[in-house]
Amino acid sequence: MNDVIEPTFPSDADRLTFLSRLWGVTITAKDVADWEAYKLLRPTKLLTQTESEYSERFRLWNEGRYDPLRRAQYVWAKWESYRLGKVKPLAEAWLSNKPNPNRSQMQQAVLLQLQDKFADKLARVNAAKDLLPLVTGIVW
Amino acid sequence: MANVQVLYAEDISGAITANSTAWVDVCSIAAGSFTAGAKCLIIANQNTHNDSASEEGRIRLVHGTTPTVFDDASLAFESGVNGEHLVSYMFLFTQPGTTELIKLQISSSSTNVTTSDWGQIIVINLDDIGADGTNYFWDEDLVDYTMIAGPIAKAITASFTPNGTDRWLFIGHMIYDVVGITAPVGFSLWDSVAGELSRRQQEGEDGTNDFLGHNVFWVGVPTNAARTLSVRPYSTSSAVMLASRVIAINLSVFAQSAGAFAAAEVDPATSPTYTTLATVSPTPSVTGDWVYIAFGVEDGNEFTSDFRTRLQVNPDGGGLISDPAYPNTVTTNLWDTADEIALSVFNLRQLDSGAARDINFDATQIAGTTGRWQTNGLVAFSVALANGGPPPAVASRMPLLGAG
Repeated sequence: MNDVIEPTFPSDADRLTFLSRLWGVTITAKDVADWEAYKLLRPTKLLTQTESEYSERFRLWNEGRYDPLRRAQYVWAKWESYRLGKVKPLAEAWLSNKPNPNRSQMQQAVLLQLQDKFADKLARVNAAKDLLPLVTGIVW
Repeated sequence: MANVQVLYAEDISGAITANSTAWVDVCSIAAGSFTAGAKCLIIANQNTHNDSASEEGRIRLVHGTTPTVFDDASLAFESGVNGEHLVSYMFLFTQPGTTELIKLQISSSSTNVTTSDWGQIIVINLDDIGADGTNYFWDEDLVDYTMIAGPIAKAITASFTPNGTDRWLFIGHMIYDVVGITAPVGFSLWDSVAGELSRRQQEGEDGTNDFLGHNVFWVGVPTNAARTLSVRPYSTSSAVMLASRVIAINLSVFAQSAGAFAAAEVDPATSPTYTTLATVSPTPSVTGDWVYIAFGVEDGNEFTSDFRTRLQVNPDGGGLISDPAYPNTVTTNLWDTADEIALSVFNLRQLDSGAARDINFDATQIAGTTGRWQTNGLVAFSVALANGGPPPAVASRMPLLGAG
């Protein structure tokens, strides 16, 4: 069992659609590319820098990730880091007696995970209509 | 009687919130309060909760009207919905010629609401208690370090030899990037003679965004043996230590002090009954301000563990009162049953002379059954200095007659 739960999708575009609807922010392939570019800007300490100078450069980069203009990148980075998060108790319990869950059962596991981890986001989206049909399976 | 300069600020209203990425002030010590050029020990706590389980609350400690963030002090945490989370800081900061304010700030990752449950800052003018290497020993390590499973000493003091009778206060601090979310990230406060004095550890929740800072404490009478004190980070999750800091302070520099520390686990009573984790009862020789710091580590053992704490004092014989009367909270988000969560809370207030003044650090169990408290302690010391203060630094001593 993985530590995180990861829904799978028919295509990368469907995955972005899922995340866009869940988070209420449009995420495009360009945002993914922009995040990759931003990651490359993460400072490393230069020999000519003091630790404090390096710390400040890193802080500017780190706090820059929260710039509302980078919101889509922020959401994508979350996905990149931990998919839908650590498997939460309800989802884990649901799957515990289903060694080979079918698609509906996997969608239910995703829903339970969303209800635990993304309750505030679910309040503004119809999960049954707009999210779960995109899910073809899970990796966990 | 000479006093050490101690400054304190708090906000315990629970009313300060942030619902955007803009920074909101929690509590502040005004620039005019400080002494120009003073070397200051800063300890700060910020307890917050966030109304989203998928966003972050953010905290930072800054100085100056145009905020300059202390090294690596911009932190963020992901929690469960409204799960409380404490981050702590310890810095040594030399005030510039034109003194600067020091304050805690919070913000959010988006429109989610981050609420300050309580925040507090205490600043001790170390120049008043002597030079580094005499009555206190300090070190910090700011070099990024990717942790491994075995603890490795990072911030480490120079060797010092207690006299075997003086009481000392030891504090360790670490700021880190959790990076991984599958293993606890921790550090020990390590005495080269006595071994591990205390530790804390917690699994990360968001590998990209979680940046955390914590303090652990010890107080007692070290044996008369040369030693070093260090912070020793450890993790198998590729976590990166951004900064570690350690200080050992000989409390005999103060006119009076009291301390209690026990490593034995305590199983607090179930709410609403409180169990005392640590207690001291100093008898002030004169009425005056005291600093007191309560600390402990919550050993969760199960995901449902939840406690409340309080810090009570009987300052004048009128009975115990909670001061600071912070919302009696403690971190509630356990990401692993092996999590060991450090809590500390402190205060600066007047204690009257004439009788013993009880100070109690208490906990009560809200949920769960197997959670415990370990390495609990309390330290109190007067701001009045012993014998009118420490000896002057060598550089300021008068030359011996006939010397040279």
